Amino acid sequence: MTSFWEQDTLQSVQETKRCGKSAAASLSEKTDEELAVLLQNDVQEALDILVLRYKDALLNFIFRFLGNMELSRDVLQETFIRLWEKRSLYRSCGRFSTWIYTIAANLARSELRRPSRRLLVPVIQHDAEGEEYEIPLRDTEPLPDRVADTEFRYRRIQEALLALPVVFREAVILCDIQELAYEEIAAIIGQPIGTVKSRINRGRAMLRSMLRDIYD
Amino acid sequence: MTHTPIRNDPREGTENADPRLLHDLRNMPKVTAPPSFMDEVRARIAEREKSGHARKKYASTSRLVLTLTGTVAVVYLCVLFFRGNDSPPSPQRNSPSIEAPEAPPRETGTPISPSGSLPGRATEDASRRAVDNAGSTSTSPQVNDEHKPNVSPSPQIEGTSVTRAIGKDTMADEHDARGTRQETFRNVEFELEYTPAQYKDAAPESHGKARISGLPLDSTKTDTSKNGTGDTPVRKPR
Repeated sequence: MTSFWEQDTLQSVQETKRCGKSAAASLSEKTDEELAVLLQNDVQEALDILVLRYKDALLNFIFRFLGNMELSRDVLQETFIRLWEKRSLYRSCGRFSTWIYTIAANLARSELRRPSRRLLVPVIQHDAEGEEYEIPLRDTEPLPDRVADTEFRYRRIQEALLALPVVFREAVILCDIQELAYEEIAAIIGQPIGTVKSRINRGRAMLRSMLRDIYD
Repeated sequence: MTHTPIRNDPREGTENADPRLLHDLRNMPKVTAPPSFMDEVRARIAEREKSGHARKKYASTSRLVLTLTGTVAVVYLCVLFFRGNDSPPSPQRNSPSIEAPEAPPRETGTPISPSGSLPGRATEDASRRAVDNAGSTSTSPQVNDEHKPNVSPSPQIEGTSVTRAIGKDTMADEHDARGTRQETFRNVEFELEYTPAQYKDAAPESHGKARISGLPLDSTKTDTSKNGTGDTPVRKPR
């Protein structure tokens, strides 16, 4: 049995199909949850809009988590494919962003567990032109003349993030880089809020001690 | 409407955190997906759906095969089970007093083949019938006294021994008056072995013969009317 809200959404889908492009533009005004309902009714345009909305945020999260751009793109693609394949499992009572972040986080964790891939974690940074360059992992000696260099600092932060244990890394990235709410992070990683806060704090403390050469 | 993340209260949980670290974390450069990403996703979804259809087809076929195999196996097992139960039980099995089937009164012996063993499967079946009819049997098969035809005492029986019992169901284990251990079986199927040397003291006409009491004899091979007692089968002269 469909709710009134879902019926309303379905009516708008039919309008979209009738009116073509102008109605497709109206799809972009819908919330994520409304688009997810449309997705469940096999409206592929809804998937396009959701991809546009989430691809950069998710790629950023996955890349900070895995540290490999090529691998991150694969995981991101797989995330949207899963979204399409498992669209029937989405329940409109939950936030869509939580759901898709959960998919991405699970896939990224699985990728990290693969023994063949675990060894391939080069720390790659993107410069302003979008070109990749690898960060040398052995860079423990403080370099005072470069501490002020923002670019270098970011590279060191990424290196330190990848050195964190997975549970702390995940929590810190979701909280401090992706800026998600504690409740949402708790739903994504499937832990109580207290655990989330504790992991974030411990992760930050670890990061701080690893980046002593920059922040002391 | 675009996705806007809900920010945590910036003061919450950051008391012990280095503000510079938090600032740097929040301002780390954002990576972006290439413009062709959408097409890649669409292509991979189409590809996956195509292979998914093939996989579903294969899965449904294999499920069908498995279901059929399982059904056949279950039916076969059911048939085996009910056939086992439906085979009419020997009425005498639990009531030893039921009369044995009528046998020709004079044909109580069984000829022995020259090799010393009882001839053929028919003899085994006949002996099993006798055992069933009697309700119980022993290593020296015999029927109940009330149904026992005139049987000469045991010289012919002693020469035989059960060499193989199949599916025996021991009902009792006792010793007779001579101290010979006797087991009473139910549903016993046995082979008899005959050793002529054990009969050196027996009557000459009983040499080379063994008899299972109460069994019908093949009248084409034996002649039971000429031995004086009417019991002991005598091989026809060649």
